[in-house]
Amino acid sequence: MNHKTHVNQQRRSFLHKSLSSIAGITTASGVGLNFGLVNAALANSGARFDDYKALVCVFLYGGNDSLNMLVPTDDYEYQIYQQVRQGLAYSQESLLPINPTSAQPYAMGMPSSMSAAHSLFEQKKLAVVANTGPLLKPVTKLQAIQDRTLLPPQLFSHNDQQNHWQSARPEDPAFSGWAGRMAELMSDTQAGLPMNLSIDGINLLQTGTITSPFSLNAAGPEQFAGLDPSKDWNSRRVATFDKLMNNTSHLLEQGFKNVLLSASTNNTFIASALEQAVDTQAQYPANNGLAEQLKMVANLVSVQKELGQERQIFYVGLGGWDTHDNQATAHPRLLQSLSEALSAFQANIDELGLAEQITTFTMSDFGRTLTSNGDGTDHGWGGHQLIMGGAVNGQELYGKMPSLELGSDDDLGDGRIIPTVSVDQYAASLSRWFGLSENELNAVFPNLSRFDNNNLDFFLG
Amino acid sequence: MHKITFVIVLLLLITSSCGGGSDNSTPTTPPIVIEPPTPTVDLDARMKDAARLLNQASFGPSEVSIKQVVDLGREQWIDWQIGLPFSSQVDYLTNLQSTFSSEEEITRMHRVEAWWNIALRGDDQLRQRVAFALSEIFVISEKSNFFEEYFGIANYYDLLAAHAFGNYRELLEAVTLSPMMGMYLSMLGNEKPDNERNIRPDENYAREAMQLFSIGLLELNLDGSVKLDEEGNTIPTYDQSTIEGFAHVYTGWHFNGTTADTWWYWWDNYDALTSMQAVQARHDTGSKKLLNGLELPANQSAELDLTQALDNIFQHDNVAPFISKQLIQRLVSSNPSAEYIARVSAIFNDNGEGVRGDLAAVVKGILMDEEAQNGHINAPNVFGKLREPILKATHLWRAFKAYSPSDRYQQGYPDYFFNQAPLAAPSVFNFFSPSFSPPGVIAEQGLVAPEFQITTENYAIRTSNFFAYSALWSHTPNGDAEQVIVDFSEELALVNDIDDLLERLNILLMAGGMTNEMREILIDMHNETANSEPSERVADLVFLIMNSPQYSVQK
Repeated sequence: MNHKTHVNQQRRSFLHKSLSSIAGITTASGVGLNFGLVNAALANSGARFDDYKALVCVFLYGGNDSLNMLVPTDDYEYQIYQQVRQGLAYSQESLLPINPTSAQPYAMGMPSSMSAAHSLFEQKKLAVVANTGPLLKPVTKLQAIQDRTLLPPQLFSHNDQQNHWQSARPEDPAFSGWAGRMAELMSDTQAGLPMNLSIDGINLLQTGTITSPFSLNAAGPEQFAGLDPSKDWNSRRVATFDKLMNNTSHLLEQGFKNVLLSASTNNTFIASALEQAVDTQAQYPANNGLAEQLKMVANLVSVQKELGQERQIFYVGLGGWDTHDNQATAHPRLLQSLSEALSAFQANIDELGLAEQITTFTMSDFGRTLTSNGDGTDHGWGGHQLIMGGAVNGQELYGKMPSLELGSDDDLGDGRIIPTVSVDQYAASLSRWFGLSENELNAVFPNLSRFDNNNLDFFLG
Repeated sequence: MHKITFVIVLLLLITSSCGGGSDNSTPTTPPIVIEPPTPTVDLDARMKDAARLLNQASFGPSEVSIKQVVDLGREQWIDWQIGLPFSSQVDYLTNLQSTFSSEEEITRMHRVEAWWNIALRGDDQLRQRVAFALSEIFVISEKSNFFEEYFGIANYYDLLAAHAFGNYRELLEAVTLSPMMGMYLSMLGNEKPDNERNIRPDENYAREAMQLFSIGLLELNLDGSVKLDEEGNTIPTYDQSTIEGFAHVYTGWHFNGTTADTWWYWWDNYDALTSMQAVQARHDTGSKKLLNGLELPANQSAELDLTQALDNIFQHDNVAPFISKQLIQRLVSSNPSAEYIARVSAIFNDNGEGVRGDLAAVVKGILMDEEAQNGHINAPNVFGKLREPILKATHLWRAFKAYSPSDRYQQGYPDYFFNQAPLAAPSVFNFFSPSFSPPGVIAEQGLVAPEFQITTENYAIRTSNFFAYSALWSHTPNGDAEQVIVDFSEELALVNDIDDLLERLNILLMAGGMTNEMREILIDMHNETANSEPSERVADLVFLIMNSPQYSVQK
């Protein structure tokens, strides 16, 4: 890895500069882009690196009941689990046993709906980070009960906890996301195609202090019809539109203009790069929105050279995890969709020969209550996350499995589990692998130093 | 000036000659004629003011509606609108179904068609625009386990329209007891605790009703700003124990007709149209800790618990600023001044007759406010909002009297173009957050712009392409019965007089906000296309205006 330290220092300063002083850089027109100019897009990402890496965030919207992804199989522990989860418990004999490399407090299995993920785990391509969640600093049950200020703001609220996961700045969560800040540190210029590419719309994770992710659909980038500059019959319209675009004054008009400029320059650029995308033999499951998004990610990965991107960060998402009701039916289906999509994607990446360069990871609002509300669960706190890829030291559990007993030291109440790994530790471990230095990690994750261990060590080597 | 006068004369002549018909499938009841205010302002300015109001208060100005506002004046038009009966999606679907052959079924496409029909042709424009705003606050979504319950979803939208000018307290209760909301946020079937089975009440509705439908997360001042304690910290409106208190209140409700014996046989009682009913045997009878220290005593009925709990929410100081600000954002401006919010909140708290929660008074207050009327002059670079993309489409089709040989608007998947469709948000958090602030020029100024959250590059292109497909390439009938055709005949009459043509488009589309520079740019293009088909010359102008950043921000 070829760090260019002077560039690092410049980039780092983005985080500290006052926003207004760099206002000029945020308008695409300010860097000479023109609506009608085809192929004006520049590659901007990660020029300081001479290797290629990508991170893929799979966001599970609504709060995955991830404590039901790893279930005890030992009789004693299973009884505790069954007693707590009642109608939401998987039967003991239906579980697929896992064989983690390191010793665990008890034997565990995955539900059969996760068979695809189970195979990845056993093939060392997948690992689990146990009991992870938003934290301000490490907190015990007693502390959490006695001092509310130790709890993350708006604990149990969907959007606030999503924002905590994505920003890693709970004090000011609406400000920017950790992947957005990381990309700004790593990039030589904020013009051109962003390092952050979203297949699931605008999100805080990839929003930087001055940059937005570039967003495209699973079907690929859309092209203008009436404003396509490559068509002769549009030329007068496009030329006129250019003039209109240069005549804005209202701040919201300028914001809208910037979206159009990004669309005009980047979509054509990506579409032309995607013509080189590599066909895959990987079998993506049908009727699986997440799989469709991940397939587009694989396509974009396969043309990273055409895009000129040494670093890429992708965002995909799957909704429906807020299983307040009907959980016994809905949750296994979601786990199956997730597992099959991940499996197909990893097969595709393996086929491209990029397994060690791409790490996929999950995030979700929160875990859910171990107790039931009759046919579902409510908003909890800690939960498990999956990490996948050839660089991951798979077939392993990181962090510590919580007790599943109600009223244990891990239980804040009703089976809302206090996390023992923070979002900061989880995200920083991914970001270190991606190429951030120790100093940069602390800049991107301002609360990281509050936790003893800033490296969960879930990568090989 | 003579040219502008010519446009006006033309506009009024055309309007009177078509009998108000383009706005409605059935003849409009003419508004009660009120002595028009003394015309101290010239007609041109009044038309622009009317169009500005109609951007805020309807699905887009049309000739007919501009004339209505000019005739009645702003306030009388609002009063007249408030008094109109509401157009029903359920009625539309019922009528449509009666025309179907035995193989045809009502689907999502028809539900959305009902929405288009009312948005484009309903008399009750203000009520329906407010209902659309409410549908983005009191969110249910077809993206749920009831995606095929088309009548139920339409009925929920009707509920919002019916209560749009009623009292907030009644709206909150109607929403709470709607079986659609009951299914969406799982209050339906929520049962009292069963400690043996570790079952406690479902917290879903308890949480979201407070966070999203009424008071929000933090204590607010009347002007919408966040309250701070002595140490400068924000003050949460509730904690987990409050959620649990309300979760216990919301136990024991199920489909209408359910009894203690049939509680589990819900398919037998399934009824997506009638309000939920209480089943006392499933209702928790303990005491319940609610907001502001209120504790409901034990052993009350489900109905009494609910009444007192909703009263408890309704009386919270946050409701006025929380709801008022969002309604302002949906109708008028993303960044209302604190004073504007405070003025509307005060009306929410007391409509002048001692009534709290009078939504008609709140809506009228929003639209009559000085900031709604003059914000574009007083804060020209900030006031206003990014138009919701689907409302750009209704605007195009209302301004240019879109019609279809089938007499139906069969546009069942607007989400493809606009990233939004009625009652189809990704979650109860709506398509966008009221506090979303895109990085760059907008965030730097500390402003929010919620609609940017769905304005990705891809959807900016698709919305542009909608205007290409409709404005550029669908102004001439192509023989398809389902085609929606925009009618440029009035504009074609002006094609050789670019000043008049642009002034007409300026009023219809930009409420008179077109700058001279923008006008010059469009004139230059128009002059270069003298040899093109007149309809294409008009279409080019409409297309470019409606794609422009200048138009895209409603001011």
